[in-house]
Amino acid sequence: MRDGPWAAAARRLSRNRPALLGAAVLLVLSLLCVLGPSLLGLDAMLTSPELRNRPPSSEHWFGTDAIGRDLFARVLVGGQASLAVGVVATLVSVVVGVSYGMVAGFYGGKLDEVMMRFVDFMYGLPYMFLVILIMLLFSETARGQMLPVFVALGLVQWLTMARIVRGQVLSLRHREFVLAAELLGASDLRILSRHLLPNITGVVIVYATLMVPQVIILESFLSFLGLGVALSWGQLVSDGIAVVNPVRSYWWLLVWPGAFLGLTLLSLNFLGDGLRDALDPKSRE
Amino acid sequence: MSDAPGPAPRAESAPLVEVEHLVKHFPTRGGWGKNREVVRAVDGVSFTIRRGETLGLVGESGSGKTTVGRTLLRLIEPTSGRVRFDGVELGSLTSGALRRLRPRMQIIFQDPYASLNPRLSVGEAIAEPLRVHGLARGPELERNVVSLLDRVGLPSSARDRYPHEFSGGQRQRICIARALSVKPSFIVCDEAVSALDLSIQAQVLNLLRDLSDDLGLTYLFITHNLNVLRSIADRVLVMYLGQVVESATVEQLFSAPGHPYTRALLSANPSPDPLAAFDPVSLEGEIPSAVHPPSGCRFHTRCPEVFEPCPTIIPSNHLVNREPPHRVLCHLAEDAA
Repeated sequence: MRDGPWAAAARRLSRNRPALLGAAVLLVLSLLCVLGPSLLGLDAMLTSPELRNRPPSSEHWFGTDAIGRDLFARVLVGGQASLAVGVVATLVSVVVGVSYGMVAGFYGGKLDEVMMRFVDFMYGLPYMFLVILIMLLFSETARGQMLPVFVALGLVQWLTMARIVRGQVLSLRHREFVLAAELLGASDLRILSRHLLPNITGVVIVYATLMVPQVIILESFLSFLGLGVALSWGQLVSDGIAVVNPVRSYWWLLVWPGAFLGLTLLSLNFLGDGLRDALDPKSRE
Repeated sequence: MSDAPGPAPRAESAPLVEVEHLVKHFPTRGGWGKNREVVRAVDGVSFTIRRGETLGLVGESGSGKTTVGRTLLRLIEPTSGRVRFDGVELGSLTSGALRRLRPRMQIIFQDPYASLNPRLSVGEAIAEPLRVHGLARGPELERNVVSLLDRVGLPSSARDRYPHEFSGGQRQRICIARALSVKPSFIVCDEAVSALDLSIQAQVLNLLRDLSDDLGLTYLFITHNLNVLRSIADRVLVMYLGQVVESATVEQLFSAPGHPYTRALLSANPSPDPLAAFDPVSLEGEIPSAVHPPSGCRFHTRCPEVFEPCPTIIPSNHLVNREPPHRVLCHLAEDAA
């Protein structure tokens, strides 16, 4: 067998059915959300007063909302926002967390002490308070846009990533192959990028995959508070719950966005578990 | 102990490595309100290694031999003391100058599994130092890698494979090839064969000996295995609790060990001859804590020949033989006339 550690991981992943199913569902959902609205000529903003609160029909597959907008279009466009927030905020936290954790773990000593106490301090703050504060720092016009949500969630989520990465680097730092690289005259940058980073990539990928659903849930929560993106799954669910009442049930307003949200979260978790088993086979016990 | 310049003519065998009163104390992590204590891992070690010589360093676990090797190479900063390499004082170098000097001193570790980056193919691992120092590029780099693999007895097909596909002995060969890539003059072998099977041990020892003959390498050979030392070393230092208690040539050490600790080690060493008498002088207990080393002679708590002065008076170094020099740190030893 002549293959590297990455090929071996890919082989293990390809034998994991739930993970493959999760990946396939995510792929279909993302394609549907990104390409669907333009391909099917759907408009998420078009109101039609005569079609208010209609249940699903052949015309409007998912029904319409209180001012007659097509719910199918809104779920797809809202999905773009939810997925984008999940992916971008996770990328922000990966970039910040990995570089921060690597520097702290590699140089150690006083620097590590100061850097990690700062992380502890940030952990200590109630994060919702922090997120709301950051959101309020953006101007009124930016409210409901994606950028403040990326920044706010990314800045909160990197803390855990930094801790994980620092721990990994700390345990690799005094392994013989790192000392050997040092003795062979490799620069710090080279040791960090060639010897440490490739050996923590697996762990980072796994935690990043599991972070995406967390971020999507957080964004939904922000939407409940009216601080999220103007049109996202969280916002749609929130709107759907608002019209649930004992007299008339507009169930489709809650069920469709909720189902898409749930399916995405479930698939991400399956994929994340599969990746963990594939990249870090020892952790399965 | 101080090693005065030997009477050997300096021109042909000037020392490559000179270590003067090397000390390394590790602070223990004291909790709140607790006094920080220090582990005296290495406590005033001095020796020299001549060009082309193999110096053995032997002792139990916890005697500080690995720390000596690593402080020598500046993988760990010493607490005090001086190390001169080829006449250059390492402590005075800037980090850049040290990095440029480093290719000349290499190390081979005990654990062949932790010594190679699992994410780098063998070819990349051996080529990396050549790239870092701009020693070779392109097809020349490829040729160099293949000839290094050949030098340590591995096929050129090993290039594209990853460390997990090799056995311990093969990995140790890869580590040797990687160390050789930068054309070092000095290699610290830190228990380099201790993790290997006996037959593989012999092969790797032979390889190391051949390399030393062909390339004029100088070794510091750290081990706890006296049979290994006997087959490769020229001179031997015996360490106990951070100090050198005896220094001698291999012949002197095996024929006339001067320190009771050395005698205990030798008697506990199984001989390859099954008919030889095996009557170990047993040492009681574990090596004492290096945080609170025993007073007087550090070995007195376990010494079978302990007498009045040992617990209170620190022994001095006795030159029990002049040429070649044989030194023993013990109250029982006597200077040669």
